Formats: sequence, structure tokens, C-alpha cells
Amino acid sequence: MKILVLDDGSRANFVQAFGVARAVPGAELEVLSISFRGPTYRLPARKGNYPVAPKLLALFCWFQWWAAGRKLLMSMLKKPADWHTGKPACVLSAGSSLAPVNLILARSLGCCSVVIMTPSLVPLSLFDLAIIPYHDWLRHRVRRDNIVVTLGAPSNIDRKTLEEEKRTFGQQIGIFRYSEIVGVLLGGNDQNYRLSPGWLKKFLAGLQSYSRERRVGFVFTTSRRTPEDVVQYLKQELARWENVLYEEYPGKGVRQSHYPGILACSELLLVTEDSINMISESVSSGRKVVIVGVERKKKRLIFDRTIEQMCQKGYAHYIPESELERLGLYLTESLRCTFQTLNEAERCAQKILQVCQSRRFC
Amino acid sequence: MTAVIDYGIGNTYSVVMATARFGEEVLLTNRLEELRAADRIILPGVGGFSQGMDNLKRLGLDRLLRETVAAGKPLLGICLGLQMLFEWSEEGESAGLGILKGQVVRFRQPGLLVPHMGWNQVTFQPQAGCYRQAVAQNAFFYFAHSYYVVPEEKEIVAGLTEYGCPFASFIRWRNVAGVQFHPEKSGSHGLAFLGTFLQQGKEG
Repeated sequence: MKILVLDDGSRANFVQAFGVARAVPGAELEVLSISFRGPTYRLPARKGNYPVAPKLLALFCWFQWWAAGRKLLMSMLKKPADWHTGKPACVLSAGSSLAPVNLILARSLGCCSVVIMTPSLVPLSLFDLAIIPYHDWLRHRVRRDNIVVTLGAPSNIDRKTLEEEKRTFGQQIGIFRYSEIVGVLLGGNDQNYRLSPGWLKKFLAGLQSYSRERRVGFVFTTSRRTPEDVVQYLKQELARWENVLYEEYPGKGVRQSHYPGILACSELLLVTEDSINMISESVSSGRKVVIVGVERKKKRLIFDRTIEQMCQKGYAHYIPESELERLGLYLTESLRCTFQTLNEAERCAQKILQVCQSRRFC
Repeated sequence: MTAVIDYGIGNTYSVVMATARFGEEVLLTNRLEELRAADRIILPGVGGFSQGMDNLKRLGLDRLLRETVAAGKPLLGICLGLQMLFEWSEEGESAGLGILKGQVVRFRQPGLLVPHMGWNQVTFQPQAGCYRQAVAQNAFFYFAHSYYVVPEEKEIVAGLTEYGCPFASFIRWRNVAGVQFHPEKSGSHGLAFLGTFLQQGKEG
């Protein structure tokens, strides 16, 4: 079964689509890069520019002008959309801007159209399958046969890669010197959450109290959204710690990421609550996961429901920001608990297979 | 043998794993005859109140749970499992099993972060009995919920927790125990609590 995976250059979107596609048994994957020409626009409190082209293409989807839509699509691409593996059984993409492209390609090729996340511009009913994270679904609460609701985002984490990473990266950083490795995944600011040096100070004090009576080694990564003052404070503090095995600061000038290695080497993962993607990857890694609260711009957030579900279902523990001074105590207790591993990519993959088989596309 | 009720929405894996740590025979089931044969029953719970009740009714487990209580068999409700033992819930405005008198309401205190997630202390009351001896007073347990129970009879409250207001986090009435926290996710204190429940039905 051939799957055409669309990539618009957003890593967060692509790993979800690729992770699901890879989990489809016997799938042959081809990645098609999509980048648009023409004008762009900006959104408040968001980074980057967004192309106008998908909005135009969405109009063609509404009127179901597939052939004309495809002509327009081809004229709007920076590079021609060529794929080499023949007719796919399914076109798969994640994110709103790729949704109209997905639909136009799938309809003109006569194959299944599978989208991840709610496409804001195109009606859900037009897709063969829509994979929607729970927090996204809560905004609309649409119940349809073609919708699969996932807890968190599907991830690209698989056991084999993690084992390999643990062996290679683990050896490289010397995890064997410690009886326990704690991975720290720090997110950053967005319209809902805020990370500040003040928060980080409390968090690091909690980590130190936890490691005082143990042989704990730490591995740290920030994200592209981590504010610069927080990164600088972290670098300055960690320079004094003797048990930090590895630090990663994604951004300009960083060529190689050992993010899967960080997940692989850790027994316990601490991940800030602002990133559903990092949380989803953590709970899919088979490690014990503690979600750490950060400062909030709003009291009630839709993501709280996802985190609540994850905690109730035994995938993770949560520590609110107000309780950070007791972090050491809580982590000790969390380590004694059994955690479940989430595997939403596999559940979605099975659903894709069913849909393609029912439509006789594979 | 301890039976953990599988009604489609519970956090059964962690409960079964934690219970099995005591060398106890654990059966995850929704079959009425197996549940009737069990020495004690655990009703876990995750998710919405009305969905939980619908699932219990569909499987005929609502009647079985009332029978269990009437027969004096130990029953432990966890989180939603505790809430469903009561008469009514604000969540989905649904009727519960009505085994315990009272309601389930949402945290509404201004400025309070809802859901209540994380570790919090439980202050055991005299009603806690043997649990009070087994688990340290004011021990930390793990919580993840937006609603809490308000029992009509205050004497069944065996443990209190403060979150915006003091609420009943542990209920004990005859052979029924119910906890708003997750003992299966509460480390050493949670295991001590579960161990105490597993002793129920063994004495005498």
C-alpha cells in the first residue's frame, strides 16, 4: 500500500503524519514537499508567515472543483509536486494549510484523503478520515464516522529507534555512570503559557532536592519556543551542576538533534505542559512521564482536559506550577508507580488501513 | 480473588498492576458470574459520568454493584468509580447508582485551577478505621478530577482534602470504600492503601 505523506516544512506537523504513515502495516511511503509561492500573512502571538494559497485552494474544495483545483495548486507551488511511486492508496497530511492540498490531490488521483488535526478551511465531511486530537476536537465536538479522536498528538516514536538511540547515544554521554537518568524537556511561551527565569529557578531547585540523595544524571533540551532569557539562565545554572550529561538548545546553528536519544536514555521524563507534541512523544516512549505546570496567561485551558485524561488513564503524572517546591517529594513517589504507554499512531494506522480497504484503494 | 470491573472506560491497567503487586489473584472482567465469585471488587473510573453509567447499565453491572453492597462484599470505587456510587452528578446531569446518598459537583471556587491534578494530602477522619493505621496521616496521594462528591451523611467521610475548599476524598460506609484519589498512582502510600483494602473480606 502506497502512502503519499505531505510535508509543508513544519516539523511538528510532519512527525505526526509520518509517524502514523509509518505505523500502517506494509506501507510504502513517499514524502512530498509542499511549499507555496505568493503572498503570506502573519497571525498575532504566532511565529512565522502563513501562505495565502491554501485559503484559495480551500474555495475550490468547497465547490468540489477538483480538476481546476489541481491546476491552481500546481501553479502555486514553488517546486513541482512530483512523486515517483505510482498511484498512492492514500494521501496523508497534518495541519490546516495542507488540508486543501491533500483533498485536491486525493480526489484528482482517486485515492483516500486522510488529514490529521481539524482543517479550519475545508469541511470535515469531504475527507475519508480525519484524525483529530482530543483538545482540538473539544472546540467543535463533531461526531462523524470519518473522525478518529486521539489523546494528544500521534507521534513518530517507535520502540526500535529508542532502543538503538539508547545504545548509541547512551554510550556517547555515559549514562552507565548513574543509577537513574532524568530527561527534562522544556517548552516555551505561546498564547496560553509562559516560561520565565523565576519559574525555572523554582523548577531547578526542585530537581536539585530530588537528586541530592540519588545518583541521578540529567539530560536537558529546550525548544525553539523557549525564551532567550530562560535559555541563558539555564545555561548559567547547569554550568554549576556536575550531573548534567547532555544539554540541547534547538535553534539557529544547531545541526543535529538528539531528541530521540534524550527520550531513549531517560527513565523519567519531565515535560512542561505547554507542548502537547512533546507530551505526546514522551507518553509514547514507554518512560515514566511527569508533566510540569508552568506559568499561565489564562486559568482554564482546553489542553487541561487532555492532560487530565492522560493522568487519569495512567500515561503521566502532573505537578502544577504552584507545587514546584515539593517537586523532589513528588518525583520520588511518581517513580514508584506504573505508567502506561500511549500508542495512538498504531490505532490511527489501523483505521487508515480499514478505510483504504473499504474503499478498495489497497 | 479480587475483580477489577472492566466497563470500557476505566484505568484498568494501573489498577490491575498495583493490585497484583500484593501477590493477589486479580481478574479484569465484566462478566457477572466472575464478579459474583470474587471476594472483593474494584470499580475504577476515567472519563465522563454519564458515559460511565451508560456502560455500567448496558453490561448489567449497576444491579450487580447494588447486589455486591447488599451482600456485604468489599467494594472500592476509584475516582469516577467513587462518584458513580452517589445519587446524581452535575457532569452530564445524570443519575448515579444511588448506593450512597449525595451529589457530585464541580469545583467552582474563583481562581481555582480545574481540573485538580497532582499530589495532595488526605487527612484521615475517625471513620477511616484500619486505613488510618496503615497509611500516614496527611499522606500525599495522586488526584486528577474536576468534580468531587458531597455526601449527605457527613459521618461516611473518612478522608478530607483541601482544594479551594475541603472536600471528601475518601468515603467509607459499611463494606463500601471510595476514593477520589488514585491509589494505584500514588506511590508507596497508594500501595499501602490498596493493601489495606485487599485485606477486607479476609478477616474473620
